[in-house]
Amino acid sequence: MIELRNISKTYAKSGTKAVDTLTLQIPDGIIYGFLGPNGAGKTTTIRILTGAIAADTGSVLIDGIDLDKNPIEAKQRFGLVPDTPDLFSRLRAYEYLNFVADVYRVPAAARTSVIEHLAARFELSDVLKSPISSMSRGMRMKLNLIASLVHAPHNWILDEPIVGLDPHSAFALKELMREHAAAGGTVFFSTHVMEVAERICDELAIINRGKLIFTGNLEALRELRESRGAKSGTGEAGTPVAAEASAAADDESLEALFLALVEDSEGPKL
Amino acid sequence: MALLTLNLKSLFAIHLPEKKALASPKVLLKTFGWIVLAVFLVADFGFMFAMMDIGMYNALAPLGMQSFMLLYATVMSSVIVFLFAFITSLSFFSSAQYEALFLTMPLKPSSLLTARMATVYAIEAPIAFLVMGIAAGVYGIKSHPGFDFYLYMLFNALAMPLVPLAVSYAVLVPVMSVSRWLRRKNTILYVGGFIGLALALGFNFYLQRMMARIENPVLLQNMLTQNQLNFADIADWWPPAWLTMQAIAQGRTALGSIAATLANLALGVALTAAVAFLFGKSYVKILVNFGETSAVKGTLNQTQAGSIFRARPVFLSLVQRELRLMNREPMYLLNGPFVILLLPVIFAITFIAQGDEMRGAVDQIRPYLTGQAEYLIPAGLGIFLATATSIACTAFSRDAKSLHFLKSLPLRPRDIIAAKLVHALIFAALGIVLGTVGGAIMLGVSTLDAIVALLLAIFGSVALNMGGLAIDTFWPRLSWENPMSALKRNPNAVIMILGSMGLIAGLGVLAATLPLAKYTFALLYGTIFVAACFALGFVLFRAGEKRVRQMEP
Repeated sequence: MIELRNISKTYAKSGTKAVDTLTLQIPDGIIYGFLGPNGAGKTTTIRILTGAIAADTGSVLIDGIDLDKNPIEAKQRFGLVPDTPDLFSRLRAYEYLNFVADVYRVPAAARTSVIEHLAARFELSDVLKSPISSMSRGMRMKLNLIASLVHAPHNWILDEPIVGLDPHSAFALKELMREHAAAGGTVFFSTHVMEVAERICDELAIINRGKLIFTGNLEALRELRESRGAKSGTGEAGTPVAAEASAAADDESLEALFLALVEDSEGPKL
Repeated sequence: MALLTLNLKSLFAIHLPEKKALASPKVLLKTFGWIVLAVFLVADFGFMFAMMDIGMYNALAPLGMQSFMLLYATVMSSVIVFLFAFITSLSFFSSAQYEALFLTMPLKPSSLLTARMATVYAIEAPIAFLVMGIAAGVYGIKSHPGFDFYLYMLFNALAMPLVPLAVSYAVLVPVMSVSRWLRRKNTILYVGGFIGLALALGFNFYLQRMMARIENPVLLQNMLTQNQLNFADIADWWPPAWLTMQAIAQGRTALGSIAATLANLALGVALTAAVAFLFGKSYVKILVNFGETSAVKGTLNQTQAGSIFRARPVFLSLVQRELRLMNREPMYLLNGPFVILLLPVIFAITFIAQGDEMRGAVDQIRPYLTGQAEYLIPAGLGIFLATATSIACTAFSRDAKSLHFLKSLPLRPRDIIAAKLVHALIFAALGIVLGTVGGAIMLGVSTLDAIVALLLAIFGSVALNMGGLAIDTFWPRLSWENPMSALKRNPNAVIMILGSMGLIAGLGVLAATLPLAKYTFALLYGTIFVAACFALGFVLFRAGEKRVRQMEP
């Protein structure tokens, strides 16, 4: 389980408030989507969540362990897939995996087994000896996915993981996420594509300009869509006008709703 | 023109601050510092050439051979420009993958190549102008030629880089078209780096020889008259040099000079245009095919997997990561650890080039190489080499792009800091072996003095490397797009190199002036270094740990 309590972060140089009193609870056993447009604060939130940067206020708990007070113990409990795949490009793939496995103190036999299994799943088995610099972006993403799971973490955090993946690998990733959640683990991933979230998320949060503008499951999001559709038309249920309004609401995809929510949160335009 | 403008702006990337930004003292100071640095660089090289030209003129004037100075300057300019043109042209291929993006635009292949050649010219022309301009100035002050002389020198200086440029691309494009090995960024960086090093060492060797003779007119005359044929040969068969001499030589006619100058310009432009036209398509093919690599393929079997997936202690893995990331990045390797080998080579060249003078100088100071100097000098050499690698003082800067990920791992900041320090000390040890042990052998010091020197070098280099790491921990350079910026454009590297030189020199002066017993300095300096190690240890592993937690690219 992952908890963020009243997290705020302002970047000193630009003065931008990247995250504003954000509180979020991600329970075990589900796939939790974290959505927002570009620059909304998703990556900043994930960096705070993983201890890469410090929040100005608030706390992060990973499986009940305070990240600030027990960082090593807390960091053992998650695996991260960062948004930039261009890490350690001078290393060979197996050197990178070995490094991550060493940091998490994964025994040789266990890491071999996990890596072989995941490499086969993501079709990377035949390039593990290659320099990372010779790999395409998608291959590097897949390598990061493998590295993040080498220690079988309970919590799996992914920052824009679908970008650059081919359809087969994207499918394999979604399957893996479902398996991880089904086994009781937490999956927390960020994306700016509603379609992706719609297909795999059990619950989601939408962030814009550092603030949460929606949290809940897809059902709640659909109800919100219907209530917006009802507001746009008048009349009692069963009347032709109400039926017309309901039909209009069905036409509004979740993506359009997501965009509308984001627009609403930005306030009236002059 | 648009391409050329883009290339020049990308290359020089000089962003002058806006007027209102200059109101900030920090910006004003920084801008002033850049201007001073630029002036200093130009003045430094200019002064070197000016001294050579003046010395040469003064030595040759009594023989009526002062115009030989112009021949010398012309040939020097030709050689320097040719070598620089070749290296610059080669090194620009390292950005071929970005240049390939222009291929999506409606640009002719010859336009792409012309823009690239024009960019190289923009670098070469000032060099030619500097060498020829200084020679013109010296000759002008001494011999009072007419105003036309300066015009001929100017235009011929501008023409000087054109033929080398054309020849460089005429050689490089066909070679790179057929050589897949050369069409790799790493290869370009290594080959260009080593050629550049060889050039720098060769130039240094030549300069050392010339400087030794400038002070001695007889030696200079002998050397030049013996080598006169060589210089004249170069001027005869290298058309830009020959045409330049035709334009500026004594006894020339105005018509002859104008014709020679125009011919020089026309030859350069024509050759360059011809190369751009003939090799444009091949150049584009190189851009398209640049950087093709094959992944090392082959499914791992059980045995292979077992041998490569081995568990190591976390700390060892961290150190191994540091070593691999530095040594496999060509720019880091050549400008970092390789310096330990390079500096002794430069010193050896100086010794060879100015052998007699150096031996004489050593004999003169040998009476003073007694007492504490016997161990302080080898110790100083070792400390300097051990800190010249810039490994510690750029440790976090080089890791900027992976810092987020590194900090998300269950690693104690102190382990990350310690691994970076150990990395630096591994190469510091090599520096101490070459500097201190080598220096002790060269000076023929006693075994006791060699041991004392070794101990001092160890303590001193550990302290200085810890200092460098502390500087980069608290003031890292984390915003960069090019990995080179983390090392070469990092002020921390400059601070450490200059700082260590200053410290060694200061301690040396102190030892020379204080009337203390021989080994008292060893005790004193050793104590200072050890105390510094403890203090810096506290800074690094307490305050530094907190700083790493707060560090954000």
